[in-house]
Amino acid sequence: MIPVKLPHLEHVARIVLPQVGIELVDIDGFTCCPDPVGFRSADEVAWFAIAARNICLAEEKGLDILTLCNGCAYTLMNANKALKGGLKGKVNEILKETGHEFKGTVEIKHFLEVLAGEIEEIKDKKRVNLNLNIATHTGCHLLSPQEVMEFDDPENPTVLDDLVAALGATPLDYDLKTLCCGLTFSTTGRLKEAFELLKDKFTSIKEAGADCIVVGCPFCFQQFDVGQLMMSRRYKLDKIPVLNYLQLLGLSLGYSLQEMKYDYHKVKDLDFENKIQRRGG
Amino acid sequence: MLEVEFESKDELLERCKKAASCLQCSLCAFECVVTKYFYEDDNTFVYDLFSEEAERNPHIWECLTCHKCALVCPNDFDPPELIQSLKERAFEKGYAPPSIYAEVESILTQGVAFQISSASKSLRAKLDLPDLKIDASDLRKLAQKTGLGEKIKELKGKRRAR
Repeated sequence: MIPVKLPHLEHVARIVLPQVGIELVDIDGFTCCPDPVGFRSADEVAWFAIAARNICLAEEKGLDILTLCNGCAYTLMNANKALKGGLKGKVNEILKETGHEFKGTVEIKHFLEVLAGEIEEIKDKKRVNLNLNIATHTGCHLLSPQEVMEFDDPENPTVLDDLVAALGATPLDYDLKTLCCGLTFSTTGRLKEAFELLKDKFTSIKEAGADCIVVGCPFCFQQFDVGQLMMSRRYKLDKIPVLNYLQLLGLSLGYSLQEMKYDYHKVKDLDFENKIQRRGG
Repeated sequence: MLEVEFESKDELLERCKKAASCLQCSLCAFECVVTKYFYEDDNTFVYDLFSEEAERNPHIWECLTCHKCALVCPNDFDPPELIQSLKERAFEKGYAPPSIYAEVESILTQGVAFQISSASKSLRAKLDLPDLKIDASDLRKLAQKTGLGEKIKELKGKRRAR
């Protein structure tokens, strides 16, 4: 998703993550994770095998995997756990064909999990406090199943709130915090229901008084940004900009909205932009 | 234990053994985003999943495996497992949405789920990002070995015959 459809988020990740001590290494040969909703339905064993091949590429280099996407984290972590839990023999037999062998020595983490472990470093490196009220949306695939993802409480997620608070911003409680983004409604062409869901979600967010929404998943980002633009043609609601957490982190490190590629977003809001321009020390 | 009788029930339970523990209490439906936006009655989606040719129900494709249903299930069942097995059956029979077949094709030919267009290439260049050079030949080998390759070939043959 990110490399093809939202490359500006890859650009931001490559700038911001090294600033908080996370070194990124590109691995040749990585492919789609593959996607846990579509590709998995074609053939679950092939889904595991392709995921395992990606994990092997990192393992062969002695590296762990950091994902920028909830879907990638879900696929790779589910595969890692299933293979360690007994599927290794079967999948390695299939992988032989490609010259790889899964050993099970790699850790897979979503970038928010890595950053949650570096929260003191983030507070230390932060240059400006962000005086913003923020509605966070962690995203379903990073939360569940909890025994696989081991990230946060799926019914009451707080990790992303803590990461937002570390930048001096105020995370808000809102009624529909764990309501999903509804991406599959859009991909199956059920736009009426997709817009209805977005209307409900954004009404709840607006009522809580949010200046912007912060997400950690590119699919949620796309649904809230492009989806909000499309939804706004049917329902009249005030616009709320959507940021990936890495962009918010960049803003607190002193980068401009332009450097954080806000120009690439469909939904922009002047009040939000003014608050960023006036951000204090 | 599952009381409802229908022709493909045995096949369903063979693919997803744990579904036999479902009492259709519909607690999961109160958490289900598909039920919330696509059904008037809270328990209809659950009943629909245990019926003849449930794999033709288009709503299985709106389930994105958020697992909120599993959090409330009193029988420790993970309903997306059932939906996953229905999706696999739908895929084999050619009932999946065209976008799913297109995505699988894209992954096996280009290595990524979305077509690499000239627009995304120029956007990457503008952002000083490295070119996307992905070799998907390993993925085709894996698809062959798991039987997915054969499944796709058969489906294409059927579509041509129609």
